[in-house]
Amino acid sequence: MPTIKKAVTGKGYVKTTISNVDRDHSNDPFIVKKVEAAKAFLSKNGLPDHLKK
Amino acid sequence: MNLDRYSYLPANNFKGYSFYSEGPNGKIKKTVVYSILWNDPLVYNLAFGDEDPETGNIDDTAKSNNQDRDKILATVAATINDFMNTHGNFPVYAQGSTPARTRLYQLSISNLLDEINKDFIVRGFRNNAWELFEKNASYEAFLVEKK
Repeated sequence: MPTIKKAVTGKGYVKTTISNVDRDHSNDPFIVKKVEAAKAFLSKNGLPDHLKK
Repeated sequence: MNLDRYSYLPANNFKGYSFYSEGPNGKIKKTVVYSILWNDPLVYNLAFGDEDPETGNIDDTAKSNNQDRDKILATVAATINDFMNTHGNFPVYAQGSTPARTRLYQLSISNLLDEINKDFIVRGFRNNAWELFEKNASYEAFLVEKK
């Protein structure tokens, strides 16, 4: 099923493109690894003070 | 921001964006992916890299050398703006997959900082603390919030 998407151009114009591909990358090994590493970093080092609850 | 950047294409859920780097080594597909990193408060992770044309998987260890580093970062920054407009003004965390890659991000942020600061607050982590991004400091990770 083709999907219609809007592309925001460098000059702020909107270009419409029809695409058949809309892959979800959230489970890519690289993404999963990055998120796990980021969670470990924040667990160890915390957030800036203004974001702490 | 008013920076030279590439056109990009958002995924249907506006949590992923793709664009093509163009330079001496040809057209290289780049993909930016936002994932929930922290729930309370809500913080998103920004992952970014080349999309393998065969597997479709993303990898940020590739060196495309297309001589457009700052234009790529300006495009990624534009997706942050788009992402926050869609999902809310939540902090976005970013870190390179290696110290060298983090250093490259830092150099680009430094080059574009005056423009980036018009729309965003960028913080860096060093010496066991978060601080406002400074051009000549060396950071381990970055946190971006919209003004």
